[in-house]
Amino acid sequence: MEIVVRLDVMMAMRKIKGRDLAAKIGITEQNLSLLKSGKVKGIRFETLAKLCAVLECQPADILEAV
Amino acid sequence: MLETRLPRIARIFHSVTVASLVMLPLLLIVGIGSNTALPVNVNGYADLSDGAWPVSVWLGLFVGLIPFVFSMFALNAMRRLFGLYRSGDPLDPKAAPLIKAIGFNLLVAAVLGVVLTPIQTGLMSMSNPAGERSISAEISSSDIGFILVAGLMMLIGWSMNEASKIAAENREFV
Repeated sequence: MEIVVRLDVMMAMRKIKGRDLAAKIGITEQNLSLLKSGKVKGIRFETLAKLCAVLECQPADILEAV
Repeated sequence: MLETRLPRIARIFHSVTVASLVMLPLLLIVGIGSNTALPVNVNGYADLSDGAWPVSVWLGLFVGLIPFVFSMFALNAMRRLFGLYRSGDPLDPKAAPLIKAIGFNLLVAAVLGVVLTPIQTGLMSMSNPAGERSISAEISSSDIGFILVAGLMMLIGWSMNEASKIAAENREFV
């Protein structure tokens, strides 16, 4: 089982650009891109909480176990 | 604070180590030439022409240079480490192996310095007349301190290796 990041889906649903989201949660666009593509080892709770707050969703809407 | 202090201090120590790497071999050559860097008195050979020292004296000289060579390796590793720290990243992955190398070379130099002194003095006084030959062995508190510091450096190197691994892993977290 692995964890898949569904951030791009949530971003499309909320109609928010990567640049804006990165600025709102305080990470670089490059890191956001790595996160979207799942090329990171992990995500901090702090980053996840900010993502959920900005995208008005739950962690399960962003992360999925497949 | 560390970000600004580390490169500044590293630059100073880098210059000091470069100067030491150049000066120490020169000082050693001058010391040997003037007989002040030798553990036994070889002035008895002063009447011999240049290069006419007995083979055992040359061997003794060579044995005495072995710890010095390891000290030079340690100094060179220090030069590279300070060069690395000039960039301001104390957890650079290349730093830990250099710290370990410094500790290892200092440890070898310290241990060999203690172990090889009897061999060196024995060789250098072998050609002296009977009654003037000697073997000396000594271990001082500074030798023990040197060995402890070298061991400590190696341990710090291992710890830094672990720290840089964790830092690298942490960088992969968003």
